[in-house]
Amino acid sequence: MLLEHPLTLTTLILDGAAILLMLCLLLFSGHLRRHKRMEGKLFFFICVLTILFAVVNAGSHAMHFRDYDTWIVAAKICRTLSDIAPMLILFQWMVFVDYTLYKSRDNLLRRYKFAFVLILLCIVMLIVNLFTGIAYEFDEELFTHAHVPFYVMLIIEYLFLLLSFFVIIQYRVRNKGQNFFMIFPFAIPVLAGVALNDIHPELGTFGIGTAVGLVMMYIFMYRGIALVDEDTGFYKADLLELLKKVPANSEIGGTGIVFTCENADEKIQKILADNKPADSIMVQLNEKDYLLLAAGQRESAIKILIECVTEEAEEAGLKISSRYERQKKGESSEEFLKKFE
Amino acid sequence: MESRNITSDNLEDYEKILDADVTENIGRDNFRGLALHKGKDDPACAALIWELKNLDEDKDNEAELVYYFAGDKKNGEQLLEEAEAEFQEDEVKRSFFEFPEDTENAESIFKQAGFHPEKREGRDITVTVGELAALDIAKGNVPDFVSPIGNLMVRQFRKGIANCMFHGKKGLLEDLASLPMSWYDPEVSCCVEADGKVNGFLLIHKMNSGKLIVELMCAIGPDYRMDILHMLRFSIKAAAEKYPEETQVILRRHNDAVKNLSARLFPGKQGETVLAGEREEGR
Repeated sequence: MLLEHPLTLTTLILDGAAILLMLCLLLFSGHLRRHKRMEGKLFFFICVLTILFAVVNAGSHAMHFRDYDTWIVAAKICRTLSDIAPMLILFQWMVFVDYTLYKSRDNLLRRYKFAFVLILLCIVMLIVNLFTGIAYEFDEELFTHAHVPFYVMLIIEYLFLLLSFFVIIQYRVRNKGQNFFMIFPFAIPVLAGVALNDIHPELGTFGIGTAVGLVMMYIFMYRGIALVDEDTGFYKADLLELLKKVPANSEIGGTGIVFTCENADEKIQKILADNKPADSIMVQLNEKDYLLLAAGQRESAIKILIECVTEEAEEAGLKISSRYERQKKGESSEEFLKKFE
Repeated sequence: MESRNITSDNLEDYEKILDADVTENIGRDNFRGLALHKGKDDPACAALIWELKNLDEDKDNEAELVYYFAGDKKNGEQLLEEAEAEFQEDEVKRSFFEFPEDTENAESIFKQAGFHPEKREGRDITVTVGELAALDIAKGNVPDFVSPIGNLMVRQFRKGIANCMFHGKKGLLEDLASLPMSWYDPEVSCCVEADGKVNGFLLIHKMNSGKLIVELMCAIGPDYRMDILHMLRFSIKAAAEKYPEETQVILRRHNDAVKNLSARLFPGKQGETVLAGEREEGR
């Protein structure tokens, strides 16, 4: 029967491909499987949601052309779940982008409270739709015909994707154009999938678009992920080699402070994480040396930071020493970072 | 004529000629004071207080003259000559001032000393607590992540200060790092916290005269503009509860952000006319 309906068959193949892609990504990426850091958890959850979406979407499309009376309940449930999933995926994506850039959980809760309300309203609408058909109705062949509330829900989904762009633009404006994060590896396949879906509603391409986008995003981010220690969240010393390549006429940071702790353990890592100024970078150079790179150069600020870290370390029974260097005007990144080797 | 440095050790000898709001700054790391005496046992006949700026930064040192008093022109001229020598010791490259319009003899003396004085609108605008409480911004709820600095431990406060300073924020305070938490009003000054860290402050100091002055207003989180508005709302409400309506609050429009904010809150409000001037040092 499905061979008689090539678009539905294509959807099943594409959803199967999406599931396979996501499973491969999760199987081959130890980092994602372990998801020790918050960004990893968020990304992992998006991948899982994509798999779930592809499963229910495939199920929903597989029911087309079946007996209406027998399959209507299953079709409604699958369709409802496949409508909730994209909203959650794009919301989760927005949260992932925000957290990756700003590393602030409180910021997520403060910024996106409205989003929780919107999602809840949409879920309630979809549940009500099961009984009333307010968002869409099923025809004899179990295809759906959408009404206005459904399109409102679509707009909300696109809003989440749009907001992720704004978060990146906001970050780049504040951080003077640092080319930190490119959303396009994710957004282009997703938008392509969504556009195709809109042109041919029988063709479910959101799943495969999202899966391809996630894989491309992971590949794009991989180099950065590999530089971060999963346990501490600090960068590894390899980062310095990358930073040395920053062009000679740009300054990578104002100050570098090296903290040396003879008996370094999780305690000193927590102290350093607690004292690290916002938007600064902490690099673990070796077993006992940690390098903080921060934009500011005011000596009095550096001294407060060193005092606070030293006091807390001594209270924890740790021996710590420190030294700092400030990047001179015109000094290249390489010359500056060599001082910490 | 004898010149003496005004310090916290001998401050009581000069309290009669110094402004009450200036005396509390003597003893701070970046404030200097000079007085002239006719004879060893004579009281001061002239005094100058200045604040050194940019000592901690990769910029030329500057000196802002914050208080000037001289009984006559000759004393004023000598005072400025002595001060110039001190500027050279501190490697000051530029000095400037903004004094009340009617400061005695100031215009001619400073002109003679090379300052190019002129009368213009001052950078400070003064409003009352009552006027602030009447603003729309003062209405509405304050989120629970804004709290008075009195609730902070000293170490949290210092970490927050370091956090702000690493982002280039210092407000009006060259010695922000050294000022204790007790310098600021603990109930009216506030901070914003996120993820257990302080990433914004609105610090208000109550001067000897009873006036309040906003000395630092900054936030460095992703939604820093909203954070600043929340802190403003908090501080206005707290000030309205703690101080009488007529208590004066000084907003110093020292940068574009504060200029824009005060233009938005008090459109059309102008500063008083002052006598202002500047001079390149090391001529």
